[in-house]
Amino acid sequence: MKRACILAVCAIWLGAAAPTLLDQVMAALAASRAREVGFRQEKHLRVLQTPLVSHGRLSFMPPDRIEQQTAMPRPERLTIAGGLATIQAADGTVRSLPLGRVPALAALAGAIRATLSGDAAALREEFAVEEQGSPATWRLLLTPRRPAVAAAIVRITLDGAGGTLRQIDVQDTDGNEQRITIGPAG
Amino acid sequence: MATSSASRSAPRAEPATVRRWPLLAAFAAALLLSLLTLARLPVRTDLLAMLDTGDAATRLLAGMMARGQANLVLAAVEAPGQDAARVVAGRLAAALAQVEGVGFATDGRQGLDEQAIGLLFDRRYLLSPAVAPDAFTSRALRGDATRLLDQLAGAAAPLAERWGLRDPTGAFVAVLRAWGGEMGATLSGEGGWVAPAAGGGARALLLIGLTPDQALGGAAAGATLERIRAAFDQARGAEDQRLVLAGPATLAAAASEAVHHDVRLLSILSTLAIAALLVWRFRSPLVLAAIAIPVLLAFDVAAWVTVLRFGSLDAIVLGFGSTMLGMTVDYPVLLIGHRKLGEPPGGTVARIGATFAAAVATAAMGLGGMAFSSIRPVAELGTFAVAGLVAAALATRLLLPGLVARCGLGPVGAGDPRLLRRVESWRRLRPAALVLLVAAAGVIAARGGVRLDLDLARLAPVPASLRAEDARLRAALGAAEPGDIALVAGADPQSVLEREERLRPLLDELRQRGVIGRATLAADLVPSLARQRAVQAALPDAARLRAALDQAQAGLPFRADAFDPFLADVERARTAPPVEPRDLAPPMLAARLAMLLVPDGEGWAGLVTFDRVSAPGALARALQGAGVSFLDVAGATRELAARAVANARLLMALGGMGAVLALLAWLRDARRVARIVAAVASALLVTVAAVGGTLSLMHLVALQFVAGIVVHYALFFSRGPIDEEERARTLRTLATCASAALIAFGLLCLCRTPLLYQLGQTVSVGVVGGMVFAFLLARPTRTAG
Repeated sequence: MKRACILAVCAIWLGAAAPTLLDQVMAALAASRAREVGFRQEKHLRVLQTPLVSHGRLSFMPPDRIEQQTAMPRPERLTIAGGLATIQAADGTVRSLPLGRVPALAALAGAIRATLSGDAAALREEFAVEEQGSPATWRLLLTPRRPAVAAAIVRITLDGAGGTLRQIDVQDTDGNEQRITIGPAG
Repeated sequence: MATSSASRSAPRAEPATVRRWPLLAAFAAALLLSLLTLARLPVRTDLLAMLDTGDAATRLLAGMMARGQANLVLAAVEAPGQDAARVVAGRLAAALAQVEGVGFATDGRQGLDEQAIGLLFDRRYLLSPAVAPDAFTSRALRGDATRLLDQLAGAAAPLAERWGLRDPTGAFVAVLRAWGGEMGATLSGEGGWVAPAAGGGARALLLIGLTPDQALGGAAAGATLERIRAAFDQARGAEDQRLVLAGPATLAAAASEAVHHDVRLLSILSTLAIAALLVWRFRSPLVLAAIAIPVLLAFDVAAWVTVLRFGSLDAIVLGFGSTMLGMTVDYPVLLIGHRKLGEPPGGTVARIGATFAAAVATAAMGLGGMAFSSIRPVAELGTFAVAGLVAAALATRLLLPGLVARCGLGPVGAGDPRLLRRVESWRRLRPAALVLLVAAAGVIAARGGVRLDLDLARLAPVPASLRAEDARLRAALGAAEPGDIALVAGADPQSVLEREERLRPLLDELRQRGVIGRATLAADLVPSLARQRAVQAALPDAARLRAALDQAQAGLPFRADAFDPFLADVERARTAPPVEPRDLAPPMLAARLAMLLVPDGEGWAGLVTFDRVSAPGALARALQGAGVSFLDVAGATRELAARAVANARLLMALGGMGAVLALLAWLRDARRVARIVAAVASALLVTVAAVGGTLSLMHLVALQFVAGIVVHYALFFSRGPIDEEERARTLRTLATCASAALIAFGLLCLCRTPLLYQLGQTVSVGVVGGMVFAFLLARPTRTAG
């Protein structure tokens, strides 16, 4: 009985509260069902004088599989699933390693996964989320909650318009910056 | 008729004052003694100790296997699809880390933990087998930097960023490769160990180590396996996913569970049934206590005499020996069954004493030969059996008559002589026995004679399906069979490591020739101090490395300070103290090293394991040339088992001849001895035919038991001259003996455990056959009347 009352109160409170920007954005992303997109990545590494550029396709297969198919500078496929990152080179050689060993990659994969499936709860669990802009043009600033991830990543910034993710910026603790621009698949 | 009515009026002849307490006190004492024996007996449970030949290598190996493998569980998550199986296996591995009794759990994706990785990375230049001086030339470094740039641009960037800049030469990769091949398993395309399932689905495999206190099965391991199953129920996503468990710890737990399940129910059933039979036959529950006294004392004396001689007792010997001592149940039954009511203690002994003594002497001669075996388990078994037989006989002869007489125990009547005559008239069916024998011989001949099955694994009371599952998971995981191992001995760990390093080129050559697969040795994981100092001397100093790097970097987009951490690490490695085995403290590293580098008596031993040995002979010769001993463990085990059985068989044959001689000496009646021998031989022949002609070690033990009790039957049937009343008493007593044995062992035929089933089947057939042949063939030579 008591439990039912609490549930009822919660339901009323939820119903009364205006949906947050994050919820609206996520609902739009979930509705768009964009599971496969094109990407262009530009990395500014502290140790390099020039940026590294690559492009290809990025896809998400529920429940937890992300594939990054790089076309340039050389064909390669990165798969993230089941707590493991696997890299398949063009010559067929395969290398795998536990995601736990590369927290930065784990965090980025988590952010992409949650965003492409419109899962606000998963995003909030891993990151402190700061929302900017409007549902039409929005920006989400993600700060990692886990210490292991926070030791590697300062912030992930997601930019988008409506139900479309446009750009991902990753800033790591070594001073490296990575920008992934997302466009239509192809 | 007169004898019959006399015996029926006999109860009145019993002493007016029946005193039960001496019997009950003796029973209580015997029971207490047995409980003490069970609690205090130093019992060994390692199967390999059974093959202990005093050879140091075998002993060391037995200990290694007991320690290293006994707590291992192989598990598989089975699902229709590979992804689902892998996801659930990952969840299960994570959940198991928190489960009580589980030391570690991995599905192949966890690898080494951060603590271990951190240490290996810090000490990579000293530990790496791939640090060569030419790795630090500007040319080599140029190649490394180019490759690194390529990796930074590609999917492997996170790795290159984390490790590559500090380790462009790849020293750490080589260290990881040496340590990472933990179980020789191959990673699937997406990580984790996966294999196809029998039914068409997929299996994701896990390796689970129970905490050391859980090894060797038992209740604790069983409870942990239950917790593992519960964790799976939590982790799984759908009903069509299944958990399969195997591995030594699971087998041990299943074995003890199977035996317990079988034994608990059956021992209750057979105890009740035998008790009912004996109480009905002798009209007093006290008879149970009387029969128990010599049997319990036999067990105590047998166990302690064996321990006194050998220091300890193997569990398998204890089981087999106790089975053989089952024949001593006949002693008190023969005594009480032949007692006339009201007879004073000496009366029964005077009538059956000579035959009884002949029975004991025959059995002791028959089994005594084994006591002199040079193979320890066989000698233990012989000692155990003879000590027990003699103890039971002495207790029956010296202790029991007085106790039994005081309680007035005995059969109510000898039996109806008309029935006796009718039964005795069946002896004219003797020609039918011949037909039976010819048929039995025919069956054995048709199956190609008597064969021995010496597979020791078959002694383990584990269902065949589980053993097959274990073999499949082992193959899929590439888990090293406790198979072929080479031993490198040394006075201390460093000398072992140095010898292993000198052995390395030979092993590489043997691998190239296809003689062996991958060889694993401790020196690959932690090089000797000497080797590490040589590496340190060859590492370039900061100025030289800086110059080489500058040259290597020219024209590449790296900033000038990009490799500063690398420079610092190399400089640190040049002056750091070398790594000793004891410095590898993280549990995952220490556990792995402890499998390969072990203290052995005064010195140390390095174990070299091979994932495949194609030509054991060539390997053994090559290693011998290098002064390293090679153990073909599987072959050695088979050979030792075969030697043990051949030895036991020879001694049994000698024992059989000894038994015949004992009979001749004791009875001085060649015709009677011939009849007894004919009865025993016939019973054994029919039994061997009935069990199919292939004999396991358990069969051999059961046949000894059968021979022992058939001697009893034949000796007592062939007694003469005796009157009708005594003959009737003998017939009924032997029928009681046989019925009790048949109940006890017949019920074992219901067991799922192969070992117990074999025992039950063999003895049941042997008892029935023995009773029939003893009755038909071993008739009295001089009958009275």
